[in-house]
Amino acid sequence: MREILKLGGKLLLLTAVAGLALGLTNAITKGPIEEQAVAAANAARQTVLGGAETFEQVLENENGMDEIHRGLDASGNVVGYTGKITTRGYGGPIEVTVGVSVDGVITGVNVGGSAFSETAGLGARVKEPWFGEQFAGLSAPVALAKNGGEIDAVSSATISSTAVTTAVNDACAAIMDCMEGR
Amino acid sequence: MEKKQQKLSSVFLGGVITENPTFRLVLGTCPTMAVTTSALNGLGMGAAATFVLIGSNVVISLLRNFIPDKIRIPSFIVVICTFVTMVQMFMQAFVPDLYASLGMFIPLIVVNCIILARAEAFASKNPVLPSAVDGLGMGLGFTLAITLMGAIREIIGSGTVFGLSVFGASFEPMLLMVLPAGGFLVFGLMLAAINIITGKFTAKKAAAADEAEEEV
Amino acid sequence: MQWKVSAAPHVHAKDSTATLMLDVIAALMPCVVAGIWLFGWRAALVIAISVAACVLTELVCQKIAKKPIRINDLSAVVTGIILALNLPPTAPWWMILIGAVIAIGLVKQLFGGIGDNFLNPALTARAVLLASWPARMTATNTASAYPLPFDTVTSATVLTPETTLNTTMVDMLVGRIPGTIGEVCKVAILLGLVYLLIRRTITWHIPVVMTGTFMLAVWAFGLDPIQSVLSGGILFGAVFMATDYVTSPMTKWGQVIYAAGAGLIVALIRAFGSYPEGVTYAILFMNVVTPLIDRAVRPRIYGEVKSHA
Repeated sequence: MREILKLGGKLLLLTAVAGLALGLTNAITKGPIEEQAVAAANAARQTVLGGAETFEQVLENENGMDEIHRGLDASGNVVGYTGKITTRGYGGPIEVTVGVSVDGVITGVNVGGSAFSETAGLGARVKEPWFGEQFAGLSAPVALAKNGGEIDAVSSATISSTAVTTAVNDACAAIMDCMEGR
Repeated sequence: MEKKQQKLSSVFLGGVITENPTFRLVLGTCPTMAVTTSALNGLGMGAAATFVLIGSNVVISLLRNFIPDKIRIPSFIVVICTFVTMVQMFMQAFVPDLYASLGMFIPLIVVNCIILARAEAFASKNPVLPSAVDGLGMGLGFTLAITLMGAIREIIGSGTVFGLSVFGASFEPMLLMVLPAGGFLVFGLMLAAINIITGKFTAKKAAAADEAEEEV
Repeated sequence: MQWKVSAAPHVHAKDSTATLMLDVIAALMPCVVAGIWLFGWRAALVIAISVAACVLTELVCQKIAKKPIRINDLSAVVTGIILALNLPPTAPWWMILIGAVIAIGLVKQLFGGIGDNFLNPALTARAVLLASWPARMTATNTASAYPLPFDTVTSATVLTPETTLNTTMVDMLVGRIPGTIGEVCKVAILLGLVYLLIRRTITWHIPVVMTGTFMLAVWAFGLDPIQSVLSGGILFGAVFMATDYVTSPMTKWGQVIYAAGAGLIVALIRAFGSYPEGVTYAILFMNVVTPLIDRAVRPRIYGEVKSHA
């Protein structure tokens, strides 16, 4: 019995000191971590809506969209909107972030997501910058070149390319709804 | 009981070369496979693991008379977890890109066999300075090994090294190299290569020793 | 020294490796001819480069390892032909070379040479190339009977869903569909099968059971069995790749289990998996399982009494 108390006591002491050390570290790093998260999300939105400095959330998990933000420039004027939508690709979910300016023109498209699992070298190439850049300057609805539109699909990856294009169109429609106050 | 004091330099070199944790002890192969998709990832993981290794070796060595034998494994794990969590929080706060690309393998440093093995085999039986040097040597050996492997996989599989393009735009990289199958392939081939080299080296040493004996 | 025990009976036949390989080469000739007829001189080049690279790799490996040079047993030539028939006609020379080095150098020689590989060399090379350069490997010419000139069309093959190809049964039998050099002409494959059966190089068990299981399973999963067996590499795989002596079981019943497993896996991948082509992985998987099958299906020694009578 005494031995169990001794062992337990030592372990308790050890874990107490460990807990203290971790609490201290947490106090030091909490602030920077939160800042990083906000900065990262903002940076992601800025890549699709270049002119915006700050973002206000308009809606979350509604209308088929994960989120829609209103983008404001330094003087507080609305520059456009960003929307994030998750669609089903060839191998798993794809997150598509679209930026739309106030006149309804697509300013940028970003493809990715933490559960992105398209085939490496084929469907995964929709994540490459050149693919998203094709959408900039167009107005929804956009279509793949093989269907008469302006977007070149990734060779041998029709399904992933179609998924992203459809997602962009859906996101634009939802953003337009938002802009017109629906 | 303390082991006989080993020369610090041999402790250090042991960790880096003769008992390299990745290629000779074959410990910690899980992160080795997963993280070596690029040289930078290998370097980052190696640095994080080295910090944990030195920290845990030092603390465990300091506490080696305090920790009762019966609960030594849980005690080691508590110490190691504390250091890993600290590393994780610092990385998340100050190097978020590296944190994101290493992902879940940072908390998995806890179960990296190298750390627990060194705690059990060395730090719990040796004084602080040799333990720290052992941690440094093993960590450095691990870092060198996975950075090298990461560089190889990155060069063949992405055409870059540390993010810098090596072959130019027309190079079609061998994608398999940055996929898990490629990791196993490269690891196996590197182990084979190192075995061949050390085999030749020990054969030479044995031949030299034989000659020396004959002369006497 | 470790002696490998293989299953009895240990009977000596008068075939040598070379005569066996010659028969296989002869059986592959219809596919080679059909491939060149359908895809043109590019296909001939792929085959030539592949054979040369395989033989050269074997020569170099055996020299480095200071083993006797055995390239005239023609096994490297067979691997070279089969590897080429698994590639698209647009395969670049460096890709073929890497494939050959992997097939002969890595899978075969590094593990001990002929008879000691545990995976089908050509198939492993194909799997590696597919994972490494997926766009190149799936870029196939739309075949026509007139070899020149060609446009490279990277199109969905008959196997990817939502395909827009309208192919007739005759097209699929003759090979006027996109695919690798050897797998498209089903008539040529069947000719090869007949030759191998007549010459007794292989028995009917593996090809028939694998194809039969595949068709049955595919029908059970709701797909058209005839359409499925005529598309992709199932027929070529069943006749030429699953039947490799070294990597398939030794007993008849073992072969049946092996072939059934392979056929089932292909059907599962076709019906439910996200890969368009599953023959490569199915056969490789069963290659790995073969030692287990051999262990489980040891033929009973004459006179041995069952342990629990």
